[in-house]
Amino acid sequence: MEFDRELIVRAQGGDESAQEAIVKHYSPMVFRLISRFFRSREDVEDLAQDVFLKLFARIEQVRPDENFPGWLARVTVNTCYDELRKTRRRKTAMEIYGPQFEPSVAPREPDAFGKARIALQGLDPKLRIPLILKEVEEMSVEEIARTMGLTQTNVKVRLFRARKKLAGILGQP
Amino acid sequence: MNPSLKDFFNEEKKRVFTPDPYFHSRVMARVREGKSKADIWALIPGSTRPVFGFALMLLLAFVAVEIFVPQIPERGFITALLESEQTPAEAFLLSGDDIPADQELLNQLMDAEER
Repeated sequence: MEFDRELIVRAQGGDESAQEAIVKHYSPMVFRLISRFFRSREDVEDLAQDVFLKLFARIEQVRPDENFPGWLARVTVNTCYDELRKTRRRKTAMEIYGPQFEPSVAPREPDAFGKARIALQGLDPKLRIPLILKEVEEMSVEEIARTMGLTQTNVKVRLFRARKKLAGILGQP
Repeated sequence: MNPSLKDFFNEEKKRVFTPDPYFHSRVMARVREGKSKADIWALIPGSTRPVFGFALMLLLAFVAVEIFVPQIPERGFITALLESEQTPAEAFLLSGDDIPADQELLNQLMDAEER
């Protein structure tokens, strides 16, 4: 805590060595969180860079006594949410307006994990993010609420809807 | 939750990317690049940006009108010629002089005449 406080105060004063120390110390956490939502290393790296750029652009807003890892997790999740929404919009636009390809070979039937992955990717980011934070990142409802800036009731509702929708897509009760 | 989904989530826990040793250098390079590109907008507080933008737009519109809209006489050619008082714009347009007399040149001529 004292380590964070000192680094943040120095980074707010424009100390580059403090900023670099923050990147070194927190990049594994940021990478881990982004890895939960994106499967390519390039995407994860690009988004991690964006997260740190956003952090330093808004470093004045960070209160040194605040829970810094929690604040950074919120910035990371918000960045992932924005990117997932953009990707979803692009995908929808391509499906509607993009060229139509007839596959020459019939696509292989995905295995159980493949089906689960496709089903999860089909979920709205609003539902997908809390579900992944709960099931993969093992966060409590309270932590998810804090990270996503939602109420705990809202998180519970989203988790319920996400599970119901997943079960519906996978054809299981 | 069904067993296949549980297994899937357990498998997902193992899938983690870690930063390479040069990641922090790349981030710091982008941070420095961003600082050097900080433009006038970065100096203006966010709340005043719309007002500033609107004022800038009005100013540019005024300059554009002054530069691109040609000066035309307010009255007809004959009326303007017959009137004793002409506006500077009319005098310039109707007198037939190519270039209005330069003040410095005029002063030099007057000096020479006085001498």
